[in-house]
Formats: sequence, C-alpha cells, structure tokens
Amino acid sequence: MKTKNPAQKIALLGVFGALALTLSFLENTLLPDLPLLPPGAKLGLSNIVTVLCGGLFGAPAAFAITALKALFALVTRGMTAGLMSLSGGLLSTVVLWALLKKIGRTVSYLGVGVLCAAAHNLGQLLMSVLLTGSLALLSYGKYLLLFALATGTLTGLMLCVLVPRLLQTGRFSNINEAKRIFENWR
Amino acid sequence: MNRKRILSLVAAVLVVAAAVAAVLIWQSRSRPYPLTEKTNIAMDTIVGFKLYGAPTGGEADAALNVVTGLESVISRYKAGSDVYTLNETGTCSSTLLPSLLAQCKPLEAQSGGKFDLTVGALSTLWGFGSEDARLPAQSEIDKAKQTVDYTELKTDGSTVTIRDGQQLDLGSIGKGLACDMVKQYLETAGVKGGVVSVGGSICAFGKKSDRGEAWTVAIKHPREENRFLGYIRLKEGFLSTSGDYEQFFEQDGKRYCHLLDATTGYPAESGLCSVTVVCDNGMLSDALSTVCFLLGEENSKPILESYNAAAVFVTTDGEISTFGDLDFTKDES
Amino acid sequence: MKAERLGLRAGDGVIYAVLVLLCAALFLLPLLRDDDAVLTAQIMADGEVIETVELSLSAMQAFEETREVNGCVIVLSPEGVCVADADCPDRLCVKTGMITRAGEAIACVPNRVVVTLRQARAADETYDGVAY
Repeated sequence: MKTKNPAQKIALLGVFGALALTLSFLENTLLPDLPLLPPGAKLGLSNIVTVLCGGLFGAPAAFAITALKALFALVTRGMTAGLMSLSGGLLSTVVLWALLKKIGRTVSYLGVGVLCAAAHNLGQLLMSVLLTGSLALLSYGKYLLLFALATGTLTGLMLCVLVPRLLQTGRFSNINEAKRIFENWR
Repeated sequence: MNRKRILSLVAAVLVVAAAVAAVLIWQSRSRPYPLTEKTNIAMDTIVGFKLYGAPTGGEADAALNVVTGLESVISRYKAGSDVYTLNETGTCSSTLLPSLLAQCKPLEAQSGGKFDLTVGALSTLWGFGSEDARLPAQSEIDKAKQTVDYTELKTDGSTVTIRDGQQLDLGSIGKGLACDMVKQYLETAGVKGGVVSVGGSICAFGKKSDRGEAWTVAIKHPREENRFLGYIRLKEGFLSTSGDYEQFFEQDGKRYCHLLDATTGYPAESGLCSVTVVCDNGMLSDALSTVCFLLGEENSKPILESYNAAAVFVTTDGEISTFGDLDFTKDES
Repeated sequence: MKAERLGLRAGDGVIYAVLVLLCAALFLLPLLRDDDAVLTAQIMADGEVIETVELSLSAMQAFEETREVNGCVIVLSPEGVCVADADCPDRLCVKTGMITRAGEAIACVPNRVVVTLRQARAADETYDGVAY
C-alpha cells in the first residue's frame, strides 16, 4: 500500500477508529435490545466504518479497525464480548478483503454490506458454538442470516451515500488504494 | 456488458429457484390430520383407537359400540348371544355366524383339525383367561376332546347347528373380526385414517396426513417385558399376534399356554413362542396367527402363501424370521 | 433511489439471491418435522450434557420444573423451555424467550450453558400401535 502522505493516512485512520468505537458504544448503550430482534443481534453501525476503511485504505486498515473494536469490547464488556467481536469482525473483514480484491468490479455497496454482515454474524455464531461446545446453536443461524440481510442492506445504503461524498472532498485523492477500489464503483 | 447480463440472469434464476424451492418445501411438509385418541374396555380386553381426521370426534365412541355389538353376538359368556344360545341349545339363528364359519372352514381343514372353532369344551377345561387355569387330567382331556370336530358344525341358511355337547369358541377370531367391523364403520363414517387395536389385534387404515406415511406397528417381545421385538411398517392392513406369553401357567417347569391344539387337547408345541401375521383381512389374520402357532413355522408357510399373508416367526430359541412381503425391522436397542 | 445511484452490479444480485435462498431454506426445512412429537430438553454446561428431560406431563413431576445451572435459571414445561433468570452481563439467554420446536436452542455464552430441544424418540422408534 503506497500513500503519498503517511501522516495524513494515520490521522484519518485515527478518526475512523474513534468513529467505529463511538458507533459501537452508542449501539450497545442506546439500543441495548430492540424489540422483535433476535437476541444478540446488533445493527452493526460500526461495520460501515470497517468497510469504509477497507475501501479507502485497503484490507490491513480494516483489520486494524476490527482489532481495535475487539479490544474495546474486551475492556468494556468482558471476555465473551471481546471474543465475539473479534471472531465476527475477522471473518467479516476477510470477506471484505476478498470482495474488494478479487471481484471488485462485479459487486458494489449493497452486496458488500450484506455479505459482510452475514459473515460477521456467522463468525459470532461459530465462536459461540466454540465457547459453549454445543452445535445446536447453529439452528439459530437462520435468524441471524435474516437479520444480516436487513442490517447489511442498511449498511450498504449508507455506504452509497457516504462514499461519493467522501471522495468528493478530495481528501482521499492522493491515496492510490482508494482510487483503485471505490473509483471502480462509480 | 455481456458478462453483466449473464450474471443478472443467474441472479434472477437463483431468485426464482429459491421461490420455487420454498413453495415445494412448504407443500411437501407433513400436515397430520387432527388426532382423536380413545382407549376403552370391550370384549374383555383393551380397545384402543388412534384416529386421524375423524369428522366429529365421536367416531371412536361409536366404533366402541360396534365392538360391544359384536361381543353380544359372538361371546361364549354373554347370555342371549348367538354363540351362547348355540352352545346351550345346539342350534341358533344368526345373520353373522354362517358366513364367518364358512370362511374359517377351509382353514380348519388346512390345519388338519389342529385349528378348530368347536374347541370350546377344551378351552373351558383348561380355564385360560380365568383365575383357575390348571393342567387337567388326561381323562378329562380325552372326554372334552370328543366334542371337538368342526365337520359336525352345520349351517343351513341362517341356522347353525352343532352336535349336542359341542361348544363353539370364537376366541381365536373375535378380535380380528372386531377390527374388520370397526374399520368398515370408520371408513363409512369418513375417518381419514387410523390404527385400531382390539386386544393386540391391529387394523391400520387410511392416511394420517396428506402425504400418507406408512403406519408403524410395534410387536411385543415374547420374553422381555419392556422391549419390542421390532416394528412392522405397512400402508394398510391387519396384524394379529399369537404367543405363548399372553395367557399361560407353569407347572413342573413346563409352560402351558392358551393356544390349544384341538387334535391333542394340549397346548401346541411347535417350537414357536410368537407369530405375527399380516394380511388384508382382520379375522383371517387372527385365525392365521393361531394356525401358524399350532402348525409351526415350516408347515404354515404354504397356508400363509395361499392367503397372500406375511408373518414374523419367533422360535422358542429366540430366533426371528419373516415370511412373505413384509417391511419388518428388528428392535436393536 | 435509482439503480444507477445505488451503483448496483450483477454481483450484488447474486449475493442477495444466494443469501435469500439460504435463509428461506433454513427457515422452511424445520417445518418438515412432525409438530406433535414429544420433545426432550437437553441441558449442556461447559460442553457436557448434564441433564435430559422429557417434556411431557407424564414424564415430568410438575407442570413446571426449574433447574439452576451455572447461574442460569432454566424453566422446563410441556410447551417448551426458557431461561427465566441469569447472572450474565448481557442476559441474552433470558431475552431469547421460550423455545418450543425441536432443533431450537437457548444459549448463555458467558455462562457456557446451552439448552436444546430435541425430538424425544428417533423416527424409527415411534409407532402407531402395538401388536401382542
């Protein structure tokens, strides 16, 4: 990943990191349990930030945001929450990386949003199976998948509002990676 | 652009396939008809109904009346029944008996007289089913045996006659016959399907859901109380079991069971401890299970074949074998 | 919004189609099972099955039974199972509510407790009548 201005990138990453943590925090405190939602399901607002970072700075940046979020969850909400956040985030970011890298031109915001949300939930489900030792939890997957379809679409819609605006600001124009990925989508 | 078109097409096909699959899965799911279950006592035994799609729910009670109605015709003990009158007076007029007896006659002949419906005097002597079952003296058996001869039972129109002293005993066909009559009633009453059990004789008919899964009937294990011998799966049909474990007593280390060989006057010793017969007629399945038990496995096969019936045999050594067209699974637990 | 502004590509359609199909299949497949079968609740803690309870009035001692496992209060009844109370931070297991169908489960991941509903008897063991 080549950037003309490392300092600018670090500063932007810091802002995005803070944004991701703020969104996670807001989601966990303001919307602790929405009615009609499967327990444990989250809107995944901070996933928007992860995808943005992936698209603007490349996969390593997205991994960094994921690790930060997991650490935050570990410190504020305990071991279980930390592991859940890490497993979901990792799988989601791997999928994001694959989508951006391998089939960048044939998918766009909505596809990326939905598939990342589904991967996030799958990662968390697998972790909970691992932690409890019960395969029966897999039956819960259908609810999470349905939920991921909804939240992923929401994430995707937000992305397609945000990305063109962010690119218009010109702040990312000197980052090569950004051109390669998001320019494709225009 | 072309590639995009192809991908869109793939996506569209997938969505349509998903919709079709969803509809198919929804359609093919099993929707059992409403279930009515009733258990009652009739013919001195337990009568159970498990009916699916019974129109009013009152069909089980009405079917029980069919069984008690039959009992009041063929019971040896109910005063005024056709059989009671016949045994008391040597003759009776009956709408039901002539055709039954005619149906059983070939079977009595094929069994070489071992299976004989005029076995009543012997049955009374041994006393199975009552509290004073006992091993009779040889002289008593010889005396009772003299009254047993199915060829002396005559029917003329609706009149049945037996030789003086002869006793008709329909115990070996009564439960199966009850199954036949109950099935006939339930079908005309519009019940979609069900399993009827009259003292262990089973009738399975119709369907339990739109899909029409096969019925599964468990067979009691002849020696172990808390186990089944296995399971028979059938679309429709009648099952009867004859076993030496139903009514028996032991004396001097020997087991005497209620299945009497009319030619010897003693319980049959054919090397079997249980026979289950499946065929398309309840009375015949009941009669055939008795015949098979009396004749033993090898001798009964030609008879089963002539009635297009199938069977599960269990020998006294515990060996299980099947004969005929039958879906039987051993219980391995 | 128009498709153009959403930047929709064919790949998006494929992703949606596959996920919707998968989701529909996961929701519809359990419906193939018999609804009236007797259920058993299996309680697992720390990866071990610690108890299996048949959920029928005949098998249970009372209309409702409770178990306390690793801080989770599990309520068993003939209709189903729920976790009534738990000492875990998120209490997601309590929020799951009651489960009533075979194959469903409630998990308390922090307490490492899972309650699963299963069909009491295997398909080949159920029978409609007994011949004797």
